[in-house]
Amino acid sequence: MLGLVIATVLAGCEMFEYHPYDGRFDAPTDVNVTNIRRIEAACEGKDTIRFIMMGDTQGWYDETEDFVVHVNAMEHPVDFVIHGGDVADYGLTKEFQWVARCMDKMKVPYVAIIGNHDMLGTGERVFKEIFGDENFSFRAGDVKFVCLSTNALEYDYSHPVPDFSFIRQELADSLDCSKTVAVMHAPPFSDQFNNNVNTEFEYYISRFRGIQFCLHAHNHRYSASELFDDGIVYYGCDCMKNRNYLLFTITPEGYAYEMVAF
Amino acid sequence: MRMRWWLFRILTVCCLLLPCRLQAAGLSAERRYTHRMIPDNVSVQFAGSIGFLSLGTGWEYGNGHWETDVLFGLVPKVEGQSAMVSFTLKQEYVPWHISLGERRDFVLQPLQCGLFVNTLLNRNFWTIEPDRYPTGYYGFSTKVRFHAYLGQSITYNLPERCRFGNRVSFYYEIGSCDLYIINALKNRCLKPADFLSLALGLKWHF
Repeated sequence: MLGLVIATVLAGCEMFEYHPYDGRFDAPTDVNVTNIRRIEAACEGKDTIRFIMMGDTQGWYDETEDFVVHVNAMEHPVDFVIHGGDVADYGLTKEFQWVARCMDKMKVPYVAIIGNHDMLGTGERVFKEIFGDENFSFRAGDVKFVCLSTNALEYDYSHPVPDFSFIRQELADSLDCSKTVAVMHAPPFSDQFNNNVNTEFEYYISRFRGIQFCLHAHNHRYSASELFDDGIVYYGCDCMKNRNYLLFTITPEGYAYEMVAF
Repeated sequence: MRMRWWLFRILTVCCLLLPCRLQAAGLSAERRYTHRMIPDNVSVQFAGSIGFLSLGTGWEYGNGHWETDVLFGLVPKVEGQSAMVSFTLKQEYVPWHISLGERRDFVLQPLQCGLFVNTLLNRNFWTIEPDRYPTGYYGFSTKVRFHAYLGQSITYNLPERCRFGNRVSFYYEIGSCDLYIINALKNRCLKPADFLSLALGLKWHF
């Protein structure tokens, strides 16, 4: 029996968990920062950008694995992938580890935006350790991607969401890109968004240089609608459970997109 | 500071109860009920999803087949996250006790199984969703976890001359909690090591 115990102990070192929310993980860190460097280097000078918008891997890890296999097998690889948030379902430390390890196998770089489920328990800290800041931006060729946390409901007014000072900073700083795409987890008018500032949000977003469209996840279904009367379309991607994603191509002439099932 | 206070309190309670237990044998029938309230063991556990180290005490009954434990666990701090204390209420069933060796010093419990509920003593976690959420928005509690486990233990009967306690046992448990089980049922890609949690413990019976 002692032998059995020792064997169990050795095999199970990974199984010594202090708590499902203990915040200890074995996964890559600073994923966004590292991958943004890769994206910016690979896209430099390109006038056509192809990328995938997917999201809500929460609890659908088999589907996420299939997604990674599918992306790695693409005949014409995309430049990068955006995870629209809700990486984890319950904010458990291991859920982040599962998804980060799985998506790390992708040949193309990806960035992840924080979703409301990622903020449960100790999730927000773990998300920030593995991926990075809640608000960030990067450029791919001539397009600037402004990624914003919009999960206002989680904070109960104790934290600025959306963070207008960050948005203003990005507005002042957007001159070197002729196009902009805004990305968020929860869109305006959704249950998570601070709907008291919808108009102000629209005011700033519409002032981004060459704003192409906005992207979001959260609703677990595909959607494309002009949320404000300003010509800016908000595209919502489906969740991983439904095994599809949005593939965008931004060219000098404009942009095109399609929904791809896998 | 608060944590240290909890540990201090548990240790004090254990120390105060020990002499009572040792005297319990010679008691009158009326007073036996009072003494049933006194725990039968203290334990220290490593890992097992309730803390890095947990201290507990338990009551044994039903000819040693049943046990109820309470444990306080320390979830250590990591950078950007402070330490937390958790509380566990555990119900265990031990179907068999098998004496080993000629001198019957050792007793093997080839199976012990049970359920426990663990709660984080931390205000950042909720049992029911705070009012800001629409009803049933998340539909689970971040604070309270339900676990199930299987384990084994081996017990050493302390010599008669040893005045401090009767038996010492070593145990291990493998278990999982409600949210992990849901994830495991939904995803074939998750391996047992992903959703199972291992605990090692020492228990001192007095």
